[in-house]
Amino acid sequence: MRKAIKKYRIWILIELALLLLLLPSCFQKELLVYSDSQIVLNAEEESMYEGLSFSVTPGVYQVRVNGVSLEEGHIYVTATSDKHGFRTFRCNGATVFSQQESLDFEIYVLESLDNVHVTCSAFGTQACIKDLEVYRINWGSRILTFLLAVGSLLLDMLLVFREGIVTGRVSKDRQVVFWALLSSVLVAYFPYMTDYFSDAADIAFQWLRIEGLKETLLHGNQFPVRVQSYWLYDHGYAVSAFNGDLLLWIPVLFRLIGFSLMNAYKLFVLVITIMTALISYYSFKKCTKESYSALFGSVLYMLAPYRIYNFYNRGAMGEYLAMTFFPLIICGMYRLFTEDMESDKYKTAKWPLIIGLSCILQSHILSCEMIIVCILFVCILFYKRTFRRKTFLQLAQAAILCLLLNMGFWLPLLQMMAGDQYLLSSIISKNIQYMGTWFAELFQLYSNKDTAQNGMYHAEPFHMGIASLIILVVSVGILFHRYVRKKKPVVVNPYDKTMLFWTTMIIFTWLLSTRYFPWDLVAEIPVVSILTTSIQFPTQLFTLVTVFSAIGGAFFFLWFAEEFTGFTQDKTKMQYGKNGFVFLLLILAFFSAVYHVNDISFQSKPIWLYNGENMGSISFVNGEYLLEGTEITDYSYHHPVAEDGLEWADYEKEGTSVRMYVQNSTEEEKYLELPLIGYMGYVVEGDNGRETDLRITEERGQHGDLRIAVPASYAGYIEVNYRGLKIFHVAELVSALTVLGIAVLWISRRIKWKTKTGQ
Amino acid sequence: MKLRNLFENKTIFLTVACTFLLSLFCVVKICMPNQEYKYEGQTVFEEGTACTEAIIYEYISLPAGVYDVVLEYQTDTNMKNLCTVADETVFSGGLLTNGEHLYQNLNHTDYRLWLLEGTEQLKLCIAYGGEGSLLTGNLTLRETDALWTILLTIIWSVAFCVICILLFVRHDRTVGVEPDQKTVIVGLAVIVLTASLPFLQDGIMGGADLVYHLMRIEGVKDGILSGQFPLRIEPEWLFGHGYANSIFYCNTLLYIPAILRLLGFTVETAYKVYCILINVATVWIGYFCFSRIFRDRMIGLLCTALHTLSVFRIYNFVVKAALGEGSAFTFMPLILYGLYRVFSEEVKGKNYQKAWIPIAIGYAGLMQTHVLSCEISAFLTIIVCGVFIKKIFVKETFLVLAKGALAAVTMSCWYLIPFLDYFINEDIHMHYVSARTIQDRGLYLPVLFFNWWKLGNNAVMGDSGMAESHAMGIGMILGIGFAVFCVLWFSGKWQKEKSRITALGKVSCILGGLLMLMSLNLFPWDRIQNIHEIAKTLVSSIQFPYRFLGWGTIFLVIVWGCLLSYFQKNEKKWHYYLSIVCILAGLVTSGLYLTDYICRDKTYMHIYNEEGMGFGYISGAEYIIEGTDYERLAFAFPVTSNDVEISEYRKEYLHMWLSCTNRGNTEGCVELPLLHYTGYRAYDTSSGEELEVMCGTNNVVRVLLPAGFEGEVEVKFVSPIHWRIGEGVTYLWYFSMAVLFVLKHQSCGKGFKINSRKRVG
Repeated sequence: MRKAIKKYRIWILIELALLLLLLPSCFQKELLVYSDSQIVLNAEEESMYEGLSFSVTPGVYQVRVNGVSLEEGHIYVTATSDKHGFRTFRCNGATVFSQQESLDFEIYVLESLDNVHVTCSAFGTQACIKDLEVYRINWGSRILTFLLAVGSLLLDMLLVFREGIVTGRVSKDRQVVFWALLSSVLVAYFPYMTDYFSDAADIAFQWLRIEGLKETLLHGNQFPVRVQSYWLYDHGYAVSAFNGDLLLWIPVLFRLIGFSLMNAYKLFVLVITIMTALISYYSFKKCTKESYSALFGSVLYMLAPYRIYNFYNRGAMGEYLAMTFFPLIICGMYRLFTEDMESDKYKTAKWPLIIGLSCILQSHILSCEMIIVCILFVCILFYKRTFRRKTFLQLAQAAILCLLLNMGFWLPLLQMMAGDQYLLSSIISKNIQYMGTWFAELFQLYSNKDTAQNGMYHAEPFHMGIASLIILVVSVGILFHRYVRKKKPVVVNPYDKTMLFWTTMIIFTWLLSTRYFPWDLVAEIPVVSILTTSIQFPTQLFTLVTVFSAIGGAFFFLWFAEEFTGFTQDKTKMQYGKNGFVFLLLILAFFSAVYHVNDISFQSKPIWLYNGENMGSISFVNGEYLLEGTEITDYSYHHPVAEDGLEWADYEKEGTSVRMYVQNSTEEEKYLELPLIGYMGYVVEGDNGRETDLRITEERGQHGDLRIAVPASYAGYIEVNYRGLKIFHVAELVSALTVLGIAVLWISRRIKWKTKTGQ
Repeated sequence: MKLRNLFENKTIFLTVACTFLLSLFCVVKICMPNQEYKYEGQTVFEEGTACTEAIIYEYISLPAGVYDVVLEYQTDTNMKNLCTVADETVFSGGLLTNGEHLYQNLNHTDYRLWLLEGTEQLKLCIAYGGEGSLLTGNLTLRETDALWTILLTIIWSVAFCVICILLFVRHDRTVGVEPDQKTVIVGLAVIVLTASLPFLQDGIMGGADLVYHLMRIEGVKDGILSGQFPLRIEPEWLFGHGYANSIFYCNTLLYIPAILRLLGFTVETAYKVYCILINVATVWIGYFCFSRIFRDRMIGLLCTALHTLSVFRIYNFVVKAALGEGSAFTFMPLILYGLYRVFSEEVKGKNYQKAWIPIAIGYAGLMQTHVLSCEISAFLTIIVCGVFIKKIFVKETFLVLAKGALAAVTMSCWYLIPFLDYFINEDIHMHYVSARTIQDRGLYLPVLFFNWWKLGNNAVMGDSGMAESHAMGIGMILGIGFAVFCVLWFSGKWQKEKSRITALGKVSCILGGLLMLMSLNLFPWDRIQNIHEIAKTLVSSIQFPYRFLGWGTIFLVIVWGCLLSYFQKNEKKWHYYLSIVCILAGLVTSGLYLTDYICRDKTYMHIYNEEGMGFGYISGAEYIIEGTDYERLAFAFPVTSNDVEISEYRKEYLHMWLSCTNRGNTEGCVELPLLHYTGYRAYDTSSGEELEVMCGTNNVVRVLLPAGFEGEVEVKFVSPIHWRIGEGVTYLWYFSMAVLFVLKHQSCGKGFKINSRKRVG
């Protein structure tokens, strides 16, 4: 490493110099490049405003529209360039809706242009725009610096890696693992290696989660975020309270750097794909203790149809995030149940379980439920091992630490669920069995980007993949053959039981995912029904089928190698046969995955989305987290609505915080409805935290708006903020302390270990 | 082997005898006089009442044969009405014709009909669009010899194939053919067959450029019939006005289908046979080059498969029907092979002096099939020469390269001189297309490495992304080879290997990578275009950045070859066989899958005669004289100035005779239905005096007639003398080469032995 650094020091110095050169530009102040004011758009006469041309150099620009006066209809604001190179001017524009007073959106410019202008088109309205300004902002420099830093880092790592290869310090195994995982990542990321985005079912919802989280954080009035502002025409949506946002910080970070929403998401997918490759390889290697088998399993997992489907067919962010961490659970459980309890490392076996479970919980609750049920099932199945003192202790520690670590998420969630009724409960159906897969679907070999959910015609790809299927068939065949013969093999295969277990798990979970399992009957059983109905579709169990197929594949690699010794004693033949079969499986897995991503690329219509404002704020799928009784088509931007006798002024809204002046000139309590959804956790108080008789009513306003009771004769400023409940903060504190505790413990142990070993 | 010895083999003797007898039968039939069937009648169509199939003549009795259908008519519209022939009683595919549209200034049809079964119920129909007047008259069906010439051609072709196979079998029995040679022969045959699958089915598959190339074939045929050799101006294009397509887009190879057309085959058959022959040539040339580069038959075979069945070639040749680019692909390996020999062989070596031959043939082939591919090849040659700049200044190397270049130019002189003449001096539309940008037509990175191709459509990728995209990449399997080579390079494997093949692999890898990059929409074509006017024209003329993938594919095939060679040389058997499995899997799942998809999904049509295609289509109109409104062109009679009268007028292709009188006191003129390309001459036939020719209305030929002129004017296209010199240089070159070849073989005492056993390399 040192040698490599020494060898490439000039190169590294150049990189550092470039970074230092770029760094100051990241803090440049914004520069006004164009402005206009008092723009009037007449619906009948001049419905179109076209500003004067201005020049731009490569960078990111922000168009800001302020003081819009618009009672009905909407205005579409965008920036255009008459003549520019291919994709060197990137802007979608955005819509200003009635009663929306301001708007800003970005323009990404990649070449110097001198003919850019802003246009505003009014639709069915007369409008007035007080200020229209275009600023050059420092996002471009930030993006460039970031890309340079990451690029340099990757290049340096590659150079060091190369140095290791050339000097022989990086073994051949490691080289193979690196290139194979890289290939898998590239294949799995294939459809996103473009300058556009391919639409997927839930993607608008996921993008709003990212944009909402970013906007709410920028407002600075919530941490951690529970109710994201921005949604539903700035009414806010408690999507963060019901879905963990831990991993969404990655795309939010990209957004904060300056990447467009589309690119931030695509970068995020790349990060997750790489993480999946690394985590699955690490986990499988810990289980099998052999590089190539782990690699084999990892490649099967990376290229599994259901995983790729979650990315590109569905855009099911929660599910694919959860799938990233499933191998950790397998790793943790496998180690706890198989490793020597007396070894020092045994105590560390719980950590993959804790990290895996926490990340899954923070990504996708449904997957978490499934994996917990699975863990319980395995614990019961291997009860003897479960109730070994040390194993039980580790399992208990894992459970407790998981609960403590994530208390900041699950306790507020449960509290909110208990405190209010949401549309979620009315959407959940007990009739899910018909959504299960057909038997024949399991045997489909090639996956397409199809969307049908019932029947096989153009159906979504619910199968384990050609390679995994062959593994399953061969495994079942050999195991069955052995059972029928009832003859003990000459050489006992040490992986027999393991293989039997994984094969059983694959078949069992696959059966659960089919329409032949009586889900509708199970859904009638009290208590269990909550779990079963929350699954939504039995096909969700394909997550488990996929991960079990992958780990099964990893063990199959070893099992088959042992098994092959029974077929022939000729070592060359044995090697050719074994390796040939495994390579055949790899080629099949690879080609079928390429078929899948090719079809996705071929079928997906492109979307070029540069500014998130263009996608609106209402893609809430079924509106699961809206308060029950809310009319979901009713939302729009609006000002506070006050009862007669109650007047308001100086209204300011920033995210989920509102500040305004109210005056109740009557002798009775009057109500004021704010454009915020009335989730529990909002607080109303007088100016500067002054105590008043103001209160938030139990009863919500129109379409679930937050309703404030203003006492008689009240006059003064009021502030409304989302603070959450006290119990939320206690839970957050517990989580924070647990993290701190674990960190302290880890550091102290590390110090002890270093002192002990003298390193 | 003497001829007498050959006939000792009974099967060969029988084959030759059968061929002779059948040929004799055909020749007798050809010598017999042809029949003419005349039918009289008149039909008037009521204006405003359209009808799709009005039967004009029915119950026509005809024996099997090929006929020209001549129906007299009068109409005042163009291409609104169609005359065709139908018969429900003959077997499906037994009556082949597309009919002919009716034109205002033509008074009779003259299209061909292939009747493969005798009938008594043939009917002649008119599809009347309802617009304008239409009166049809007498019908004449003229029998031709085409049926027998077709049969004769088929007999000889089959006999040739059978004799070749018999000779091979005999050779194997007497001398013996090595097993790997047999494998190669079977392998090459399978490749040809696989590549030709789309042409071995009913009809002809539609492609963006199909009609244009079919018209080129028809143009060559008409050119030969009109007495032009070599063809310069397609006489029937633009409704008989002539279009200088051949001057800009060389037709050398299209003489093959044109001859088939002259022999009587339908244009569809001629096209398909030509495509199959191109496949054969591609496979043969590919194997010749690759097996010699790698000095291994199996690697040569695999590289040929990768080259011939590459998705980009299939896309060009089948999906797009880009005949020129597809044909150019055939010659590219020759250039590569030539350059490889020039830069890798020992300059004092025995055969080094011959290294110019593949370069010359390759470049001549490219120039005469697709100029753009030739430009790209020249650009790459310059890069390669730049890389090996030191070697260029070695006398022998320089001489070989110069010889190659000179020979290529000499071989193409007959085409290049007219091309440059017109390109420089003629004001053609091509000079005005520099504003066209191409970056948005570039590919997305993943498209390069698609494996499972589907048919897709021709949309601009910049607008529609990869959705429904055409198979325009290089394919995953070539991408894998490229990636593996790069990984091995990265890992320092090539540092230890210092062979010619490694150097070739490295250069190919870099050039392949560069060309792939240039085909992407990431490559800043728009910026390059804005640098200078010359850059603007050059970049614009490329049209599609993915054109670079033709050469990109070849370089990546070479990269694969280098990898296989490396594995073989280092006894990495496992890697070698795994690579073969990967290549085969890749070919089956990409090339063959695409072919399969094309055959299944691509609509096909039947085009038998040029009249069925019309005469107006000129693709992008690049070679039209700037300012011509070609939509206004139609079949027309000469137009005269006030005092000029025409008493007689005759037009045979681009040759015209007019008997005219100028009664005025000033100079008069006649405007002829010919597009005014430089080269038209007009003469007074009685005095032989040349009359002035100039550009007329809408750029047609205008002949000036002096005051009081009376006589016959002959107008024709005459190739300038410098064009003729160019042709002479080329003919002389071929002649001298032939003489040299014969002399050399005689002096060496070599006969044409077919039993020579020689290992590749």
